[in-house]
Amino acid sequence: MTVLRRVLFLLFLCSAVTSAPAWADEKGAAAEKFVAELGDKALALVTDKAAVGEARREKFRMLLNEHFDLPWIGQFVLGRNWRLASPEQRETYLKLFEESIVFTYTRQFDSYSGQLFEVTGSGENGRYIVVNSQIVNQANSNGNVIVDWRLIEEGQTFKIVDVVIEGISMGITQRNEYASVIESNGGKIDPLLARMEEILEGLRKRT
Amino acid sequence: MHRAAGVVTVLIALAGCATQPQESVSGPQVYDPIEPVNRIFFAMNETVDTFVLQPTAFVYKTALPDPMQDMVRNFLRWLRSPVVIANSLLQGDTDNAGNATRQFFVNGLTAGLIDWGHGQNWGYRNEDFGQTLGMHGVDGGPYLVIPLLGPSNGRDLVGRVVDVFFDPLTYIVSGPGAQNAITIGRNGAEAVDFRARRFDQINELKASSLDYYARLRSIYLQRRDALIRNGEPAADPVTADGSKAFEEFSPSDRPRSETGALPAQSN
Repeated sequence: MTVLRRVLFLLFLCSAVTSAPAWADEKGAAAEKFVAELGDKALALVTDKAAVGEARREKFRMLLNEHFDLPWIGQFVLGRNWRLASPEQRETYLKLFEESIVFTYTRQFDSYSGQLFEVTGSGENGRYIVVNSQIVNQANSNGNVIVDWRLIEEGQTFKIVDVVIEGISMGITQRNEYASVIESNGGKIDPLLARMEEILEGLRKRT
Repeated sequence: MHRAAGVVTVLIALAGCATQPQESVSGPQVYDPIEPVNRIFFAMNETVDTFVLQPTAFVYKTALPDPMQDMVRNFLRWLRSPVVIANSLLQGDTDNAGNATRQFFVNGLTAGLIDWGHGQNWGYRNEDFGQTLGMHGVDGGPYLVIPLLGPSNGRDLVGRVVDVFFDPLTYIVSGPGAQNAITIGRNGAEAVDFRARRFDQINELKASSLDYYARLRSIYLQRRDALIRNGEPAADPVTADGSKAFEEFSPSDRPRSETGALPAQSN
């Protein structure tokens, strides 16, 4: 009886071990598709000459919310200070956070010069799915940029929670920066919000 | 016996100082003990950037045709190849040591101006002694901003000094005057080349920063980590400072999620 049980257990282990990668592959493929689609849509938007100004920003905002979990990212960036913020501060913060992303990235669109987007693979990193990709500069391969996307599963689909460019995580960079601003203002959230507003205003004026 | 115990105690105490506040919940999770001094040097460097480096880089990138800019960079990289060879060997990376050797001789035929390995499988990859130390497990130590040279840390500063000794130019050129001229010329050219290639990106980065000093510090530390790993993903999902920020994070609020939690159990 015990022998049989042991054999069954071993069989179970074997099947678990062999089936796990297959399941991971499937998930990885789906995640790669998710990122590739985002790349296609973003490229279509970047090259869309008709979309300018606020119209372009609105389209980008939709794309952003569709593929990124902004509240998640915003909360990660604020770190432990999230818990110290009041509901009103959180709301203002998330709004400013989204707007600054929209303005920062749509401004970059103008420097687009024919690069291609290519998904190169995927894997798991701790609790997250990581999709690897590359922005290919056709004119000069020295200018290729490696971009990794950190994803969480959300229902049947995925949400991006971090973008890592050449080893530099956008989430961690902003988390460190915001923490520094809050710390140098005596641990208060409002000065951070004021500073975000100020920078956003500067970006608005320059567009 | 007692003395040994004393030494051990002191070592443990020192190690305690050396290991950074791992879970310092407050403030930036970056080890920057002399931040006020760093910020002064940073402000000075920023002034130099605004009034000297940026205008020079602008003229350089506007006036010089792209192929010639590439030649300048190729030459600067070619000058580095002995240092790259030495450090690749110290890291046990014979592949890159071989590539750098090939670059040194083959590109040397055209005075280093053309990178014949570009796009081939023996292209340029920089290795310096800071990376060598990092690869052998040496921590970054305190973050430092060095006048004129910019962001660094304890490990990379030591690396810079050691790399001077790996450089044949140090021994070929005689006289401190000529040595200094070469050092200044090379560092200046590298700075102009770096700034010119990232002209708009750096200005954009400045314009969108709430705290440019803190943002650059984070970028520097993360980038060096990535270079030490040669772009390979980290074994652990670590951050610039070695803490596992992403692993430990779970949002307390999930306004859009029904479950209110991350799929932490899966994977």
